[in-house]
Amino acid sequence: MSADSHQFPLQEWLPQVIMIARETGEEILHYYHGDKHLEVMEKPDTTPLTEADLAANGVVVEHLRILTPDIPIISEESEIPPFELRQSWDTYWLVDPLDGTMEFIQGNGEFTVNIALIHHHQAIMGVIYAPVDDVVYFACHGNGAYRRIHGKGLEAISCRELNMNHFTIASSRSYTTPQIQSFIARLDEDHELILRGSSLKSCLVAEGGADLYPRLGPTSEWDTAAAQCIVEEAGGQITDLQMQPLRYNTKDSLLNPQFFVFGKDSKDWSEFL
Amino acid sequence: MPKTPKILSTKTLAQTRLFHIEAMQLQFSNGVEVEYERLKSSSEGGAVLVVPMLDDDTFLLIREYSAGVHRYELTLPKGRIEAGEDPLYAANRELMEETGYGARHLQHLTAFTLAPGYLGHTTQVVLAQELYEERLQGDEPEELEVVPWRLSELNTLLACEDCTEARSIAALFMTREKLLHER
Repeated sequence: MSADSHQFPLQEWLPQVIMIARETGEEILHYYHGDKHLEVMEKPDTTPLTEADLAANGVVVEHLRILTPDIPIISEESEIPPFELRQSWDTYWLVDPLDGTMEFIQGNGEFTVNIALIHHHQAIMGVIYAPVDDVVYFACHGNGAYRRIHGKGLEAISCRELNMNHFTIASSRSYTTPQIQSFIARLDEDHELILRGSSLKSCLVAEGGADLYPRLGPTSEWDTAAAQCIVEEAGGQITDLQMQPLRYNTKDSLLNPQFFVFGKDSKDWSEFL
Repeated sequence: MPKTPKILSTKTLAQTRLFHIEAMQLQFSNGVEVEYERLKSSSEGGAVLVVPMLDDDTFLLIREYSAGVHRYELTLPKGRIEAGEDPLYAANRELMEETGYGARHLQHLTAFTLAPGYLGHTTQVVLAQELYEERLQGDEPEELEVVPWRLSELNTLLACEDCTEARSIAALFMTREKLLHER
């Protein structure tokens, strides 16, 4: 992590970014609970895009602009600036206003608001908010990772140490591939499986509820950035299949490589691919 | 433990869509040679049996036509593990097809054999918790009746004439022991 990340008042921004995530989540809930009419459209890449996505995007972008007028924003639901422009950015907000659109449409509540601050290709702040259960996960560089569950106080969270006698894998509810299944089959015969939507899978690793979340399929940078800061501050890692930490805004495409999320004292998971 | 007998040769006696009967010429470690017959497991992955817990005490059974005994049986949801499929994913798929519930937490409990003297089939037993409603279309010829029951009333279930399947009964007792122990 670069030393000059401390040029930003991260501690001062963090509570405000949490507020923004909450307000965005509340906007989404108006649609989720049906107060506002929901139109499901097809995005060009065929993932369903709801009006809730767009409304959430409006809230998060507006508030981040007020908080830091000089820091640019990349959001899943806004037009993406070309790489020629954004490659000169040292620092920017990377946002997925509604991660888990499938979970939203299916009505299982496991969708999140994701806000990350990227500096020199690394996530130095991350906030993930799950509005249905009113749970927020957050971290900023050097200050540990935290969780606040509705009705409970603030708790520090940390990844657990790997124990193969009680090995737990987090995996997607809406997404499974033969590669994932054969990877899991090579890992260990005896495991528990916890299925979650959206970035809540990474949060599960960060709070010590699972040892590994393997993602052997496509994701975008806004799907992992906030989670990466939280997982790293909780003592874990998000790496590509060569076990190198994911980096941001290094290329034209905003697609991530396939990746692993894992906790403390972990293995070289690439050996099982 | 004595050394496992050596398989000198095998031959297929009969093969149908579901069954593969095989003759094995065996040599025991003391030199004695014998011919055995077995039903070979035809599916690669075997089968999976699911214990779906609706809450800490309530589990779900299905009432399904069982051709072997030609009657409806109360059993736990179950099915074949497709080639290359992870047993826990297979369990969740069968659960959604047969009961209309998916699970957010799946845990392998054990593997059962039924009559290991001549049956090669193995059944993986999976505990499914944190259920939510989700239906997947399966290949069942008719919709199955889902019957909730309580672990605390397992003995009443055993008295039912239509609940005879040994795997389901054993899996339910194992689950009751495990959950009592964890409490």
